Amino acid sequence: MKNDQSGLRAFMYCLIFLTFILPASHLFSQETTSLVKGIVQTDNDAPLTGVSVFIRNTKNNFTAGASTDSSGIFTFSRVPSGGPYSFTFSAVGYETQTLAGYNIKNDITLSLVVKMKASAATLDQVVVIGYGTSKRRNVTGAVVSVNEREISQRSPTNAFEAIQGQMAGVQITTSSGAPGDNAALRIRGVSTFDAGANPLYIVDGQPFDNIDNLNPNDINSIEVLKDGSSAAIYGSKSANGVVIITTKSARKGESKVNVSYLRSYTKARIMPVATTNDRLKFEKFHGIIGDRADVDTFNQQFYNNNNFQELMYRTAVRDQFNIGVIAGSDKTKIYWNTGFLNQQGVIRTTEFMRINSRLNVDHIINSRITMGVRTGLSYDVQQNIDQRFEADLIGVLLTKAPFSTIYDIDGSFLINNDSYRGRENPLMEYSLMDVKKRNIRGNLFNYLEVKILKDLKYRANLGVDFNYERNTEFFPGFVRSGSERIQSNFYSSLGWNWIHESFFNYDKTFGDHEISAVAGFSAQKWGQPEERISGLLANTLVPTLNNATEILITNTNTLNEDNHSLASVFGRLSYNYKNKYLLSGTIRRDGSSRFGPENKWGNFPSISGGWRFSDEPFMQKIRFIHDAKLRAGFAVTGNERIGNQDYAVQLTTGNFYNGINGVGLSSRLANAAIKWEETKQSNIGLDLSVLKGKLTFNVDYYIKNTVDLLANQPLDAATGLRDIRVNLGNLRNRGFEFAVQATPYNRRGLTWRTNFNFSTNTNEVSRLASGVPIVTSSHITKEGSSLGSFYGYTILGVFAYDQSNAFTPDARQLTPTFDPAGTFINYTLDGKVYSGEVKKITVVGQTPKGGDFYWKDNNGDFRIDELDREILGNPYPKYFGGFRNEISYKNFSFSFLFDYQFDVKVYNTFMQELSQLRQNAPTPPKYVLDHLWKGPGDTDARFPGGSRRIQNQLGTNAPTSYWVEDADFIKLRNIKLSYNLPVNVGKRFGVTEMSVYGSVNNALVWTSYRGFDPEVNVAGSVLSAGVDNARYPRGREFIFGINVNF
Amino acid sequence: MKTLKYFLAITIVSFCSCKKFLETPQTSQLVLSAFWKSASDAELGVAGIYDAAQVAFEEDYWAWGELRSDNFVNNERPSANNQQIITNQLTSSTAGADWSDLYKAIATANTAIRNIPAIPDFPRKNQLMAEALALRALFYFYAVRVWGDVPKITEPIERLDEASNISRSAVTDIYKEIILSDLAKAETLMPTARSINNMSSGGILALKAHVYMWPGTHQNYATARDAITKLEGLGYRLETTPAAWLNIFRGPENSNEIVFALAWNFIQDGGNSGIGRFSPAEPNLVPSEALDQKWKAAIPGDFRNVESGAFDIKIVPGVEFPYTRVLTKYSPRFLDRNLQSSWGANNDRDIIFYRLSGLLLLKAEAENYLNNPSGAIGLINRIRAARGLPLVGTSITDKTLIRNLILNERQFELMGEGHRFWDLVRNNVVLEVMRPINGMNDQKKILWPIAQNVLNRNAKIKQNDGY
Repeated sequence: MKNDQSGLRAFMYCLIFLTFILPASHLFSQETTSLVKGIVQTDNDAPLTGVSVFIRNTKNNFTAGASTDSSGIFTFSRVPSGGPYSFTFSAVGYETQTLAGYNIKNDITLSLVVKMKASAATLDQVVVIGYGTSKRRNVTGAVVSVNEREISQRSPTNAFEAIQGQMAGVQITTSSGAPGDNAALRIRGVSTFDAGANPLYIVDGQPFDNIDNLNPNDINSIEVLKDGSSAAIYGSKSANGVVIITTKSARKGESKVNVSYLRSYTKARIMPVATTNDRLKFEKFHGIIGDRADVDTFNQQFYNNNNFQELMYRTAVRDQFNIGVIAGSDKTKIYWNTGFLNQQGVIRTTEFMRINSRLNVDHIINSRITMGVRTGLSYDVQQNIDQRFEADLIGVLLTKAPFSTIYDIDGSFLINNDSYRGRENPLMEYSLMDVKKRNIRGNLFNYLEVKILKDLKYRANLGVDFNYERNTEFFPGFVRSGSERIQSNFYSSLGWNWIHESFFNYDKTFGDHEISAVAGFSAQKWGQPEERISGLLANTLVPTLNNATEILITNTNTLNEDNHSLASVFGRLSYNYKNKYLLSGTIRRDGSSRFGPENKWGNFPSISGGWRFSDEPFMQKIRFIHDAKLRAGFAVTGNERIGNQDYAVQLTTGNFYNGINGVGLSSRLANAAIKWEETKQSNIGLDLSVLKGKLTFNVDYYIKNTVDLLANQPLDAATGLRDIRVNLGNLRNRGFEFAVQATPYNRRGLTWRTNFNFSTNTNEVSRLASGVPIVTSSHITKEGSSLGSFYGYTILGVFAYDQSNAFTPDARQLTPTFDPAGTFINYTLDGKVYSGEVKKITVVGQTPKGGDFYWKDNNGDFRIDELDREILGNPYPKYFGGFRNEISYKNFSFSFLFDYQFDVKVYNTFMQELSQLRQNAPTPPKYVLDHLWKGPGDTDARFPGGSRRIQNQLGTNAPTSYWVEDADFIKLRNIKLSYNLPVNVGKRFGVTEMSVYGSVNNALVWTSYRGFDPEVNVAGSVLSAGVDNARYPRGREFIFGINVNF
Repeated sequence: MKTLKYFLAITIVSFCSCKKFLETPQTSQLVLSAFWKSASDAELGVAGIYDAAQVAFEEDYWAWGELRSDNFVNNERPSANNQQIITNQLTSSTAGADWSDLYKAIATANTAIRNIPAIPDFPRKNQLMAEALALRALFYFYAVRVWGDVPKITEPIERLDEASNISRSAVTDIYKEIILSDLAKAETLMPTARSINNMSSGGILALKAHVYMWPGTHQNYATARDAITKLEGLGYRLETTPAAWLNIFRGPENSNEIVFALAWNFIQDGGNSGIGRFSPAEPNLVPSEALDQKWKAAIPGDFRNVESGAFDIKIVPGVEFPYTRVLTKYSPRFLDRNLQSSWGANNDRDIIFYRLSGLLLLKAEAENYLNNPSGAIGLINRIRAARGLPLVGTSITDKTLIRNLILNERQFELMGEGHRFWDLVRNNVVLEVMRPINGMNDQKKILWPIAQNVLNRNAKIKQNDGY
């Protein structure tokens, strides 16, 4: 079953081998006639890599391009003699320079030495915005970008890892350490309840709902449109922000083969667990399950002291290989890259494999018409990775009695009866089950650009994206429980969508006035037919349904429900005067098949402005300020991720009775007026650049008011209906973002670059449908508080004595006094003997005694029940950000990245579950065992005494204040040291550029959290986030890599 | 420029077809307007009512009728919910207080009752209509007994303005306008005499008898007695061997004694978690020791009694775990805890609402109240004789003694079948019996509280007195 993967792996190694032995330089070498070469340096003589150099004969329009290598050297090997030639040098972060008037004579080598000036930070950088680009200088919204170098910092396997911690206001939480797992990206908090909180992704102009399969190696830059005014041109999909990804393409005259390879080793963190000794002590209190030896005997079994984590985990290896060709001529630019990724999981038998291939071609047909294609294909396989089993498995690893046996004498697996949590032998289980998720995804995107007039362009896009998923699961009877039947499940779906867009761009400058306009329309359609089938098998000989004895009809269905379509018209008009006064407005009108007949179309306008006050005369005296701009914007954005058919009365099938597949009522009433969620966003910001651009600041403050919040308005229970989807409710997000970029030192070849970002976000639900709080087993969302707060019981401690459960009628705790023999005498209050009425707290009819929890009685009725629940914290961090540093000296470069979050809680439900101290319970965490109540008078205990069976007498899944924990952390995400081979060394091997590096991911974590990792999934429902049910552990990863250009 | 014209043409065409473009019908979903057109639609719609009944009764059937009585006690580790029910500490968050699922079943029945008459005539039209009516009567009969006054809803709700908050109607109105009238219509329409898993004349008569036995202005013992007499003529038979008696519950569940049982099928419906809770695996529910003793004293060696035996759970020290009785009506007793636990989750036992033996004892109750002691004793002895157990002496004439005799006989015969609490209420002995056990001393607490979930959603609904 795993052969397909190992075959691919072998193929990958072959390719690596071939690439390195191929004399690549010969393939691309050219005859030279006349040579132009030069070196590009910074003002302090450090060589500059990656500067693009563009040569142009102003007479006959001959052009060619090149870029500098790691020594700052560029070469044009065949330049026709003549002239005059002009040279243009450009690089990110530097001012573009043009040298003109060179005449080149035959057979004479022209040598140039060029010094680049650091530009006013990144002001001239081109920023991709919706349906066009803009200079960073002229941006009036809150747009943040990361470049290729920052993306490659962590040697990521996906785009999310690449930008974690690097952007203010953008919070990325990876859901677990499982290979191939995705992450949640939240821009400026959460502004919806259940319409989907993910942003819109635009890759090279094509919209996507997720970018899980994108090879981070293909990414040239990522721009995040955070505020409404920049995102609003995407209308009803823009409320959660927009992430624009631009993949790589060739520069004119560039021609190289790029090969990179990395290998990494990951080790999971081992949690402290109870030893055999601890477990035996625990069993003495709680009794034994199964027909097993008494703990007091000298049974040989008790000599075992297994650490199941060590048995189940391994040092996981990741191999990642990329090969690409980048070539650009006058007319055609090609970027092709194929990447292989093979990643073992730290849990044995788990594995992830992915192949990506991308081909980007742009071709200039004539002076008017340009065409191009962006093609991405990927195939991936996840083996034995599924959230459904992780919590259970990890639970077993941490809690299974350490004396449990695993192997028989002959090395085969042993099923033993110590079935804590119903798992007999986790190693056996994982070696038997076969859960595979396969995914083929492809996207084709074509564009045609026509220059109609000098300033007017027309562009048509046509994109198709498809995603075929196939999940197969095979569980031999033994898996999950000794008595479960042999089962196979199959799932497949074909997700598809296409988009067509047509728009016009008009850009015109009249003297000091600059106008830029966009107008167009788009149509998009989605569908996702899917099949699910489950069957019980006769035996384990054949794992497919050929061997089925029964089809499980409740888990067998075919759906075709995800069809939906969106039609839009949109436009933008921007105007600036002398680059000083900037004004921009956008409008989009969206119609969606999801919106009810009464609200088919919605309008999404925005307006924003900027004032570069540094260009005003009065600022000219303030020399240290290099550039300063104030920005403000307002927009109405939408979220159309609502149900596809919320407006139609539905009936349900699958209501089986006695062999008939009956038709029943839906529990939801239809709403013909259903529409998008609307978020009104205001943003005000300041961009400041001082000390000639060596230090820049960006500060933003935003308010996002979501109105018409999509909610389930509960209906009168007697109607038999649960609710109706309505647009009712308000939610407000507010926050502050601060980012600094600086180059504190840049002299004598030593450069230190640093950037730091800090963000805050708070949200408040100001109105709910019907005012009824949304309460789940662990969370509450109610008016006047943050959405999705933890909602549970507060534990004040453990009663030291039976008599400690005694209160005055106004709920003041009494102190019992005892005589020297330990007999109770009386109660005292504030040191005086108390003789009044004594009240006792009761919990579900029982009166807690010494060694039981002292629950907080919030409503003062001395009865602990549902009404005593209170808000215990919120899973969304109030403060978060990151800090990156890069120090380069000559050929060495050292960089590291921190990120952090503060004022955030996580509900450690996993630990709470483990510390229930029930009779057939797993071993509680060591921390709990060490703090059990030891007997009357133990005032330091935090947990009930060992002989108390039920720790949580309330018997609820509700969180308790003990396990809603602080999840603040600072993580050193990555350290990286790289070395660039000097060019003259590489040349001997036909190598133009080569670097080697060593790097550590997840290097260090500072936290007080007791679970595995305080970084806990916020994907899934936004109203019940931050629950740690033990996901796949993250490990520390040591990476070694090489990157070569031929 | 040609290309440009081409694209402009696409643009124009695209805009023209926009309205159609924004319609995306879902092929795997059924829309109301396309349903209730044919005979087969009616079959599917009525099956939907039974399915909704499965949801409504799966857990609550036992919460309402069984757990509040003296049949079961909690073990040391009860679920909080069972604890509240058994100890008479019901709150507005106790599962069982929420009528949403029952009203969903009512809404499903309402839809069928409204739509079936409009379907062109077909052979099973009366049958299906009668089933829908009888089921609605059954649902409302439960509603009034659990909560007292309840909202009266008899029409399907399809728009928001129809769903505006509805207040509670008096119990007498619910009986008069829904339960009794639905039953009368169903009785006339029903063409089928017997059917185990669907409503039939037998089921309708059983329900009718039960309803007329229930206290209220409509109470009429003679009508109840006559209904059961009529039912006896439909061909039901008592099982006469212990093995056959056990097969009523453990399968094949097709005994001639069953009048109406809600069918359960694991593949279609999943496990029956209500019955699963009687599985001694955890064990969550333990038959009461007092009942065991009373039973042994009344009928020594009764094969219907709960089984005693140890679980494979060793306790150190042993005194902490005194519960060793198991209700083995539905499940065999396993020695392996895992198998037991798996049975609890995977069983698909039917919920038996009415059996002939229970109905004969109900008739005995009616005869007793109609001053026919010998008739009542005779009926008890019909059960005893069929079960091969010692007969009861015919000399007893005291009404109260006979009532208690019948109550005991019903308790033994129908243990774990969701009747005991209703028996106590119907005979007005609930306080007398339950006060010593769980301190139930308030007539008002016979009704359940109304769930917070229900109160939140309709301001016109007020909590029941006593809560």
